[in-house]
Amino acid sequence: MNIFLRTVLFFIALISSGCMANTKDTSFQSFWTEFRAAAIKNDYATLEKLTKFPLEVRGVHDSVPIEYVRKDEFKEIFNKLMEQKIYPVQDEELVLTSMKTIVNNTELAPDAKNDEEYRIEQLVFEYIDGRWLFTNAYLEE
Amino acid sequence: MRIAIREKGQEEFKGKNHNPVIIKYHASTSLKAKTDEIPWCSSFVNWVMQQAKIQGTNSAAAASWLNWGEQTTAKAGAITIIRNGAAANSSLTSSGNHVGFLVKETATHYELLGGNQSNMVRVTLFPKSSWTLRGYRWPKKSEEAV
Repeated sequence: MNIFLRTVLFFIALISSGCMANTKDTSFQSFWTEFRAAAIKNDYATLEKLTKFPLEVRGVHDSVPIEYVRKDEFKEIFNKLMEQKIYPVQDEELVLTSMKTIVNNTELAPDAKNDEEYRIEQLVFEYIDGRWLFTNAYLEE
Repeated sequence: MRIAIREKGQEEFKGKNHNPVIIKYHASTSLKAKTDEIPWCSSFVNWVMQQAKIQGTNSAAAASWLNWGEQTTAKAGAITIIRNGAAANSSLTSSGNHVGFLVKETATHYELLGGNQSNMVRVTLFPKSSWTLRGYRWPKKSEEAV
């Protein structure tokens, strides 16, 4: 293969990998926008479509049995998740609020720690079979 | 406390990968664990102390803080050791003890900023109905950071 062709192929590979990465990030933001809007409106039908069932709900440690939440139990658990007290950091101070307020105020998805999973406080989202889904959560009481 | 607050959000990685920041916390103890699956609450407190230039316990055991520094009251920032026998051998604690920094004590809860709480650095409200206070500790005057 001549050097020109190799260079062209290298740049095509580079550009396409960059595009794929961007597509993935963008898709979480659009997922989050839809999820957040549904959470704010208490639109459980849309939230259920964006959730993988059974939804796994964990406690503060793994001696608390994982609760496997079915679709018909979702509304009750989701409301409990939203009512949880959360301490986000504002100006290097801890400020008490609720998960619902965090969702309301988080318009832009935060940077992911890795590209397979996003965690926004007590809500965890995973990239499964080409789409983002709400897969598990932490409920500390 | 500010050092601990800045770490809020550090979390365990899913699967075989381990968060290098949590491994860094572990490096502040003699255990020097290489995985984020080993309970890391005490490692986190030791690491925070190290950053503040205060000698910690160098131990990965939460109970090691019971004899550290001096006894204090329920004031913000106090190193707080609590125990729940039902939590023993869990992701949070092998012994049932847990350690973190007190944010607030209410009539019903110990609110602690700590590591390994729902697998991350965060504030958790530990209900008094299941968690017993073992001690509030504070650095001795001579050890306090300047």
